[in-house]
Amino acid sequence: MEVARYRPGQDAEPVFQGYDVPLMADWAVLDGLNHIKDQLDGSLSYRWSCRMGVCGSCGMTVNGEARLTCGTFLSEYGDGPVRIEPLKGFPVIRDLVVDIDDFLAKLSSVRPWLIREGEELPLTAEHAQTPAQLEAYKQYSMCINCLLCYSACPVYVLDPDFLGPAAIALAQRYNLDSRDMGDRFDVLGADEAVWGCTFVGECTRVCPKHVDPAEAIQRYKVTAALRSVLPWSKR
Amino acid sequence: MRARDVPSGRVGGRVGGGPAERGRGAGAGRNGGGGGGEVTPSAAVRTTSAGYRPRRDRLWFARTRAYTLFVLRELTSVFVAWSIVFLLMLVAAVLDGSLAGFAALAARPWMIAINVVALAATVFHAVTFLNLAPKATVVRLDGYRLPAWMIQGGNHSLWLVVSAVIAFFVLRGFQ
Repeated sequence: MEVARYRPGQDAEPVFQGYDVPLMADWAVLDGLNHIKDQLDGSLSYRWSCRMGVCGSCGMTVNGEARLTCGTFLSEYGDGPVRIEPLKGFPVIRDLVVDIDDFLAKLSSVRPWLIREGEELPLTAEHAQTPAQLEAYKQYSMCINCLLCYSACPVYVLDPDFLGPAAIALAQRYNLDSRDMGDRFDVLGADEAVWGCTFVGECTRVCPKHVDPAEAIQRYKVTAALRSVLPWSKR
Repeated sequence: MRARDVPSGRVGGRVGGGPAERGRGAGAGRNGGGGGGEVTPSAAVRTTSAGYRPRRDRLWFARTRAYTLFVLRELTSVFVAWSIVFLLMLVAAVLDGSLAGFAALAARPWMIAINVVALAATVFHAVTFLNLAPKATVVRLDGYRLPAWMIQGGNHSLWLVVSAVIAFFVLRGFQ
């Protein structure tokens, strides 16, 4: 495995370091990294947690493509070498660890929670929802914030001001929820939000949870365009 | 489904409680989004980092096949624009009564070559545009979401019908 190393104060820019890792049929790339960490070089830094494609922590660039390393197997790459780099588009803190504060700030800006207005119901109150109402947004609720979509998006890599696929998809997850009463047009309708998307479509292709952020963005483009000519239309 | 809800603010329901609300931990140093603060446009909330940021890759479009195809698709917009300009020139010639001069210009070999390329690029642009339409259009009939191929098929069928009608009237005018 060829792993990008960046040690602040020591390296001016990332350099690749090679490690010999056993090719095991059931080893994911993350297992290879753990082997390096445990057996070969304890100074290697990277994020991981659940090992089952749920936490979204272990996203990295594997042979040039944004992948979850827990769901990408070494055997996919034959005898190797497998080149591991940090996610593109994000500042590198150390080795394979990137700074995602920018994404977290953008995620907060779309208010990714249910917004209710004009009522003070008790906490035990329930809001009935039909299967069709659930289906309307369920796909977008599957996002695990792994940031593969940001890394695969050339718009975000070239222009970090772009709100980005996951934040918009999660905003749509709430926009399409029958229980939500919020209006996120002020954020989503901005030039650097949905209109910044040029529909490359790579965000959808790399998404490990099949969220289809590209669809979420294009759908809100229609909404935003209708809002421009029909101001009373909200969704 | 019945989902327990909270009157205002953040909800961590079974489906509603996505990772966006959960917070990130597991030693990864990630913190959850949310924190009901003031809503600001994306550029205003962009943060700066002391981490290493690689130089901008000027050949990014050549790095993957998908990027290259995307750029080629975008470049066909130039030929779509040219097709519109050519059509406007035709309309202007008809209105000015200078159709013979325009026909002579259009018959020149280099103009024919440009228009053949423009036709191919415009058709490619139109086909890819219509194929992508289901991404922006969700059609539900009695709760059933129409699959993408149905929307694409409808788009292409309508396109062919409109093209046939236009061709009928244009070709009849030449007879």
